Amino acid sequence: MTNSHISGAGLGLRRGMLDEMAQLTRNDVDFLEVAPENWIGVGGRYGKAFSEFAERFPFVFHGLSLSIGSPDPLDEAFVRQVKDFMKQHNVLLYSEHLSYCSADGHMYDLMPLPFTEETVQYVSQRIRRVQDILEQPIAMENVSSYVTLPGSMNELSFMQAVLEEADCRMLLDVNNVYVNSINHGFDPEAYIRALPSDRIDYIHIAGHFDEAPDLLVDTHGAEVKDEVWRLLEIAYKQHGVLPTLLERDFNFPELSELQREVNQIKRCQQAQESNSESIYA
Amino acid sequence: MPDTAIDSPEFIQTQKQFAQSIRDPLSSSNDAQFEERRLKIYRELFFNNVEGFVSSAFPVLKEILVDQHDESFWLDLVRQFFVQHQCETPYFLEISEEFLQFLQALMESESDSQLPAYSWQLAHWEWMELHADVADAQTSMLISTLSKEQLLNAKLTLAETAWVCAYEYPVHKISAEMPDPIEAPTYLMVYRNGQDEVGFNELNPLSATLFETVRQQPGVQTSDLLAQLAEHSGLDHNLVVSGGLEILGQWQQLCILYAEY
Repeated sequence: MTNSHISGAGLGLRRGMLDEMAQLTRNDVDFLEVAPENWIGVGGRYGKAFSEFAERFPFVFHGLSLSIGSPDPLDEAFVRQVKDFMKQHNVLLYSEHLSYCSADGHMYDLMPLPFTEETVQYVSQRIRRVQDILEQPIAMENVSSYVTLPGSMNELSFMQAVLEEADCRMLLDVNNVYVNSINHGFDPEAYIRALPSDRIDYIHIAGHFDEAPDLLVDTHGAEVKDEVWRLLEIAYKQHGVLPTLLERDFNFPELSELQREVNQIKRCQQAQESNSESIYA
Repeated sequence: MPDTAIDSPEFIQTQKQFAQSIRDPLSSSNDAQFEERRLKIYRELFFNNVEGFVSSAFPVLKEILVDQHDESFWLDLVRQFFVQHQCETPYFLEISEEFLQFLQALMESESDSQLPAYSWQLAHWEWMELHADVADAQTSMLISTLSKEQLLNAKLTLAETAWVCAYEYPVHKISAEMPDPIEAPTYLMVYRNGQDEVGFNELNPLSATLFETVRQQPGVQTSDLLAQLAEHSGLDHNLVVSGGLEILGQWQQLCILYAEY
């Protein structure tokens, strides 16, 4: 495992939940995650609260606006701001989405990339540029999608090709694998098993919304579904126990409800660890 | 302008077309033949997201426009922003600044605008209150209260956590209940105090000048500052000094003025 500074189960830190989350300790969650875009350049009460959390918890940054596959030029000034912010708070891991969120300007949400060889070359060259500026690798996340843009590759082969070509890390979102397996009709287990274990830094897990039997929406606004928990176990079995973060962005329940899901991640990890111990016992 | 879309690779053209079909559903074609209900998910997610950022930054402007017109007038305005304005900031809190730029350009270009004349100024005020809350700026340390003589000989510097804005309307009083303000020059000081609480004060023109003068001449000595002010205003020197000392003392208490004695 390359990211020895985080392990266990994590939770996203959000401005709207700062007061409630202030009571959390390292016994409750092992690490926290934020979008740097929500905290860079923010002072006052929010800036102070963030600094306090950053002193108490290991953090990972999960970006939203890098727009790595965008037709627009890469915003290198922004990448440098992320780099400075990581240094300032001693954050060692930066993940982003293998997607784009701008075309002639920012649109503030994620669009899928066309899965073509040309796109692989284009996006990989941009990932390498970001890694050069940061002087460290970044982890790319598989994103959920509701349409497939015209292209000759499938999602799995596109992801594998980018990981190789860009020589970058991966953030495996098991909920997104599940959502896309329904939306686009593929085998989610086969997808997860085919990923390169040595490139995965950590895992995301989240809830989704069932729009229709063949159309799921990745809302991060509901509890994690059973099928997704099952895929998490499969991911652990295939790739080993990896740090895993619960995402929740809308319809916030009580913190105790989120803690229940964080604890379920921990149990899942412990069960897998004791299984693998017994093999070698 | 060269049409870069023609020269760019096919996958880039695909991306741009898809983005455009999300931004502007009415005037974009579904050439790629996406299933409508799937395209609709993107269109709704994206628009609702942007609308949420704009609504939460400008609740008063939104309420007034919905009252004076209807909900769809507001939604059309946000749609116009989403379609026409190229947002450059990667930072979500700065989407409000992008909207301000859009609104300013819109009001300058439309002589027959259905927006109230004060719309941009009201929006700026709403943004200013948010900005004061989150700006990466330091307050001054609260120091022991100086006597009037000490303050008169102190050197003054304003903290970065205070701003004075001049408006043509009393924007702080505009609301859905009071949507028709009378035009009147209005100076508002918004600040973040030592407890990180945001507040504001209405200033008279003399206090606003006092603020601006200290901002432009950091380290100015109080007695020199007030003498300048008396000379410029033509007001009685003693009145300017006694009133000035009082307001400077208040600003010190708010941790927005550092007086070095």
